[in-house]
Amino acid sequence: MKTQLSQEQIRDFLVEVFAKLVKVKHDDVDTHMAFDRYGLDSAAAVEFTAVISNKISKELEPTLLYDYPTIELLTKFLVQTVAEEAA
Amino acid sequence: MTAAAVKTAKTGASLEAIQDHYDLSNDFYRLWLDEQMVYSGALYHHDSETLEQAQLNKLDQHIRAARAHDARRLLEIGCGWGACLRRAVTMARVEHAVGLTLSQAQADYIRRRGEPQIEAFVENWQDHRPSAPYDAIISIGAFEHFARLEYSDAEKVAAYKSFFARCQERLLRPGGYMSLQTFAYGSTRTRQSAIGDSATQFLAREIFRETDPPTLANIAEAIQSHFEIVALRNDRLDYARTLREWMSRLKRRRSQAVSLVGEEATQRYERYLQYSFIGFQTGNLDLYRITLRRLELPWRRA
Repeated sequence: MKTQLSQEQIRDFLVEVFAKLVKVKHDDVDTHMAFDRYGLDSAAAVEFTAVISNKISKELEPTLLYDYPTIELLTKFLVQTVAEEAA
Repeated sequence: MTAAAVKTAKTGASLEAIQDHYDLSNDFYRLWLDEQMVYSGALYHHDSETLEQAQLNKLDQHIRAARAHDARRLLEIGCGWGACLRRAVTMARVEHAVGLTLSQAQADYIRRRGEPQIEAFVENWQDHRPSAPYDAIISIGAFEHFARLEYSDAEKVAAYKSFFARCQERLLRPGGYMSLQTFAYGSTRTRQSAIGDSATQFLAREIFRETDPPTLANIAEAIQSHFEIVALRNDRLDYARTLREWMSRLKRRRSQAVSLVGEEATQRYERYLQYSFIGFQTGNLDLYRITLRRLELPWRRA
């Protein structure tokens, strides 16, 4: 299942979850803008990380969103992580 | 409450608020802390060190910083389950080590061990009246509780100032040292911004009631005319590493934790550890270890 997630699917998934979390429209999410610019705080970051962790079935650091602070950076990291897991 | 009122009233978290947290269950804390049950950020000298070793490093560092080796009498304000008192007596030849805590469970734990050179009192530092001043003071992870979220900055400084004044005037001998460890708001944002964060609100509501950590500026202001800073370290990443280890241990023993305190409390602690980890890893929280020397009071000499 993990290997079937393409870069686009991961990005779309992240945008969808993030938009709901910070209560903005899906189309208004700028994937290059840092999460904290949308008012994402540490509580929401933990929640977001838990959803991602569940999606890719892999434990992730609670500081994930601080290490990869935009949708684009996070997508790249997750693509690589999923690929490594599948290898 | 005015700053003047804070100076005279009991400041910081109440006995009840402290006991809510620290009296939850000794067995629960034993599941995820180190074997000595040290509940504060450790001190890592090397990447390969265990949490156990890093906690001993931290205790030894404070004993050294307080110049407590071979001291006749040592006071620890906020003594937890007594690890630092034991270390001071067994490894630094301290003759008599006195610990203050507001947790009944912690004091009972220490007393049950029956170590003749160690005494623990369930007592606020404001109420402690020793027959003579101590040779050295150590305080690890208590200072965070000395002010409340609703205090203004001026009220917080007044509360901290009353602590330093008490240590200077009643608790520490002339020329004595105090080694203080406290976490604090970091330099990444203002206190107001931190207080607005839902993680801060969660911690203040669900984990550490009636508690708000200081800023470095608060401490620097509060010591004036009471203590001088001899050394200052910010080891926030050491606290992040400590929290990572605590999270990992709690995860491994999660089912035991649930049996002891229930699913809801376990989840609450998991959230708290995660938020704290983020705080220290990102610099929203700092961990200060401060060596302080008592200022003399020449104007009060006979």
